[in-house]
Amino acid sequence: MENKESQIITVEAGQEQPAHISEEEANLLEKLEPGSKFLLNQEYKGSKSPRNTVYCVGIENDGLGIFKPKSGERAARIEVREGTYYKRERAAYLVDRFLGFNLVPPTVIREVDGEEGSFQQFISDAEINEKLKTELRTPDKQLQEELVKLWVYDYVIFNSDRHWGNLLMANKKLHAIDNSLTFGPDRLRRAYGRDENGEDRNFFDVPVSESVKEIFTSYFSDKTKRQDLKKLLGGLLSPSEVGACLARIKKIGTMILDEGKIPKESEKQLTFFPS
Amino acid sequence: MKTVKIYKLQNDGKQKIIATCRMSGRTAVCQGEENFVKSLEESGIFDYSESAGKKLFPKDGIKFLENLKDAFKSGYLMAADSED
Repeated sequence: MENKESQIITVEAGQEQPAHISEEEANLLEKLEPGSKFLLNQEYKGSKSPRNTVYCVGIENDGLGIFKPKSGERAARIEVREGTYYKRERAAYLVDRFLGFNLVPPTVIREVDGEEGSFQQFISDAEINEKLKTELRTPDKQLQEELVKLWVYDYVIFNSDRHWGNLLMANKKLHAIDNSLTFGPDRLRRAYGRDENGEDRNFFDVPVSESVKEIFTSYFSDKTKRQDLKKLLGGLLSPSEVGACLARIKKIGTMILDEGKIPKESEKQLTFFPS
Repeated sequence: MKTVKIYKLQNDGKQKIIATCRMSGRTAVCQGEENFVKSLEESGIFDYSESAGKKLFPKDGIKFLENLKDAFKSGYLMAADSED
């Protein structure tokens, strides 16, 4: 799929105002293929304890999307209540987009056949696990930079569910999917596979790339962008969750710009709502 | 016997089973695509019933099986359980 991130258009988007929506997002909002929706957990409809209904839906002339209806959510954590996951998927995308991490596929909230939920562009030809795990063990420079970026991003959205199963890779580019268990006062959990010593990978004291520094330089210098993000997140998360997220952006961004890395000794400062 | 199948979504929108996990005595045994099964065994999955960040492995038996549905719910990978 062609990258249309640079072509920003502004359209009405329900409760979200202002809504700076890319052409890809607009397609997700408008161009469903009639009759192309099907349940991905079809085979186990009779399960006694089903989890999180997920549909695959065709987009007219533009591949597939993953639709997760609000009505199909089942609680996995007490800190992140069911009925809010679809909004968290959208919020995770907005943070990604406004700061420019470029990790999350376009994600919107929309209604499909009378059900409201999150709708995310499907990434085709992506490695989910097999090749990805091998590459994560000994990442080259490009993949290492992507991993550091993801590690920073997952702190910003306070992800309690990043693991090798919700990480995709296509042409050395990482895609962060399944971002529903985020922004809540839960435990931060990030597992990107293991390093060559068999330890869970982390990136303390690793110099961050200029592109990661630029994410925060750009964000801190653009008051309108900061205000728009705050407003949009306010329609999706609780006020305390929005405040905590913005505080995390400030904390880790300042650390990166001041020191060029996340020092190991600062680990305890990277809390849900840092001072 | 409790069985969990893990499905992978392909480019054409169809799913295929890449692994099947079931109880064998007190532990779970997974079979399927070699690298995927190896990842389950080596890296494990999060324990979604705990907030302490614990991980679960096939040796943890039924608890491992029950948490697969929470670990693989992205659409790209989906875990589904059934009673055989």
